[in-house]
Amino acid sequence: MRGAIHQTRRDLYRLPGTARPALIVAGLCALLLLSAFFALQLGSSTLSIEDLLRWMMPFVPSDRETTAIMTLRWPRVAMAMLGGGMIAASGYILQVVSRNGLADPGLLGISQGTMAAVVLGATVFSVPPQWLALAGLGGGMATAIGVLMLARMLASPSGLILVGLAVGIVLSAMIEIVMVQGGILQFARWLAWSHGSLTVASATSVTMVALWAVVLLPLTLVMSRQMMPLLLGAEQAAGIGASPKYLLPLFTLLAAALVAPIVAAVGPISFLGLIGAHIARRLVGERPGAVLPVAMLCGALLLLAADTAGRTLFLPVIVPAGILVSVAGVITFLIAARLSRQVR
Amino acid sequence: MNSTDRRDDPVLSMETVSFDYGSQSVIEAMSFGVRPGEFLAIVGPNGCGKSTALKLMAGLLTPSGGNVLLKGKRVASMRRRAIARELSLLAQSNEAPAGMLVRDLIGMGRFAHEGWFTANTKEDQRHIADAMRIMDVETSADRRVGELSGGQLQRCRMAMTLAQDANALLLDEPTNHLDLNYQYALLDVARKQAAAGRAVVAVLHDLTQASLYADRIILMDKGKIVADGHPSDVLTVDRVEVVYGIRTVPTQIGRAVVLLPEGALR
Repeated sequence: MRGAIHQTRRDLYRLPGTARPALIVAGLCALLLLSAFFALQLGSSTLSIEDLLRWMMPFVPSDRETTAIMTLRWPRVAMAMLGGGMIAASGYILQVVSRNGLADPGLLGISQGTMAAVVLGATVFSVPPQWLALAGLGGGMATAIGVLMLARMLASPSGLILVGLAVGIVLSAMIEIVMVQGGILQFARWLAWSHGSLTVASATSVTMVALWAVVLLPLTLVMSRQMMPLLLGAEQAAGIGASPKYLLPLFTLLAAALVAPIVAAVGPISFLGLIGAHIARRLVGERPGAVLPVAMLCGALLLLAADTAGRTLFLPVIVPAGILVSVAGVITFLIAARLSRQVR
Repeated sequence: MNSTDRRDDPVLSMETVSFDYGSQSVIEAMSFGVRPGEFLAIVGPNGCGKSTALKLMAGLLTPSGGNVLLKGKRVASMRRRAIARELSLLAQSNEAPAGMLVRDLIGMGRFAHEGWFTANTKEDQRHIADAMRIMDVETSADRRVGELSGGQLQRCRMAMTLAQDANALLLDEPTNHLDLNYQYALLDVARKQAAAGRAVVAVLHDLTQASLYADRIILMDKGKIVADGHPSDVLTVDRVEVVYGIRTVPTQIGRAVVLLPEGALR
C-alpha cells in the first residue's frame, strides 16, 4: 500500500516540467471553489443549497433573510481567500529571499510594523478608519526597509532574520503598550484583531484588499522568474547573471506590500505564510513560477478552512482564524518534519 | 579593426587592483591578464586572498583601487546580465534547495541568455544537453538535488556553469566535494574548455594538480602575487618554503611538479 502511494508520487514527479504543477493548480482551484461554496453555506444559520444557489444567480431575487446573512458572510469568505493567497505568496517570497524555510511575514517584523502603524494611527494620531490600511502599509514597508538597511549594515547573511526578529519584538512591545492605554472595551477589540480575526471583514475592506491583490498577485507571478537564481545564494545568483543587490530589497518590499493590506484589514495571521509555502514546495518542488500559484491557492484554502471551522465548530464561541491557523500550523509542521525525514 | 578582436589580447585583466575591508588590506596592487585558450591556476595558503581575487574578477566585489576589465570594458560599470554572458563563475558554496530538479538547476546557466519571451530556446536546450554530457550527469537530469551526493551536486553545478557558454570561466575551488576520479575529470573538462579557446581561471589547493593541468600558475601570499608564470618556474622549493612554511623535496613527473614535505620523508 505504502509502496503503491510512493510509486504514484514518483510517477507524478516524472510528468513533464509544467504538467504536474498545472494539474495541481487545477485540482486546488476546484477544491477552493468547492470550499468557498460550503463556507458560504455553513454558519450560525446554515443555508439550504437552493437558497444559496438562488443568491448566487444574477437577476434572481433572494429572500430577505438570505440576503442579510450573505451580506455578512461573503466578504468574510472573499477576505479569507484573498488574504490567504497574499500571505502565502509573501511567505514564499521571504523564504526565497532569506533562504530560510522558516521565514514568514511575522518573522521579519513586517506584520508587527503594519500593526504598529495601524494601532498608533488609530489611537495616537486619530487617523480616519478608511486610511488605516494605507497607514499600515506604510508601516509595513518602512519596517521592511529599516530591517533590510540594518541587516546590510551588519553585513551578515543570517543578519536579516535576527534583525527582523529583534525589530518585531520591539514593535510588539510598543503595540501592547498602546493597546493597554485605552479602556477595556478598546483593549478587547484590539486583542481580537491582534489574533487575526476575519469577523471584521466588510465589503469595503474586501474591495480594498482586492484592489491590492489585482495589482500585486500578477506582478508577483511575472517576477517569479527572477526569483529562481536567488535560490542558489547571492554569490552564485550574481554569477549566472541575476542582480541580488537589487532583487533582494525589491522582493522584500513586494512581500511587505502583499501582507500589509491584510494585516491592516483583519490583523496578522502568523504561520500561514510559512505553511502555505511549505506545502506548495512539497507539492511542486522549487520552481518559483510553479510554487507561487500553488502557495497562493494553498494559503487561500487554509485560511478559508480555518475561518469556516472557527465560526462553525465551536458555536456559540467564534474562534479567530489566526488562532486556528497557528494550531494547524504546528501540527502540519510536525507532520512535514516527519515526512521529510522519511523521504531522506 | 577593434583591438578586442585580437585572439591574444586578454579576455579578462586586473590592472593594479587592490581591495580592502575598511583598514584591512586584502589585495594589494594586483595585475595580470588571462588570454583565450589559457588555463590559469591561482594557488596560495588559506587567507592569501585568492578567492577574493576571483570575486573581484567576477565583479562580485568592487575594487577599492584599479580596474578589472572584461573584453576591455570595466566590470564595475557592467550589468550582471552582460557580465554573465561573457564570464561564468562556479562559486565555492555548494548549495541548492533539496527539492530542485537537476534539470532546472543546470538550466539556470542559461539565465543571462533568456529574454522575457524567449526562455528555453533550441539553443538553450543544446547548451544544456552539451553541458550535461560533458559533466556526465545526464542520468541525474530528473532527480532532485536532495537525492545527490556532494560530488554529484558539484558536477551538476559545473554543468550549469558550462551551460552559460561564456568566454571566461572562473572556478573557485572546483574540486571541492569530489572523489579523486572526478577531481581529475573536472580538471580535464576545464583544460578542454581552455583548449576550445576559453579563458579558464581556477583557484586550487593542490599544487600538483595545478601544475599538472594549468598552463600558468599565480602563487599568492598575503594579498600579493609572489610569482606568475609556467608551473615548474613558479613552484620552486624556496618559494614554497617562504609561502607555506614547509621545506619540500621536489620531483618532476612529466609536467607535474610534486613537492613532498621533507619532514615526512625522513
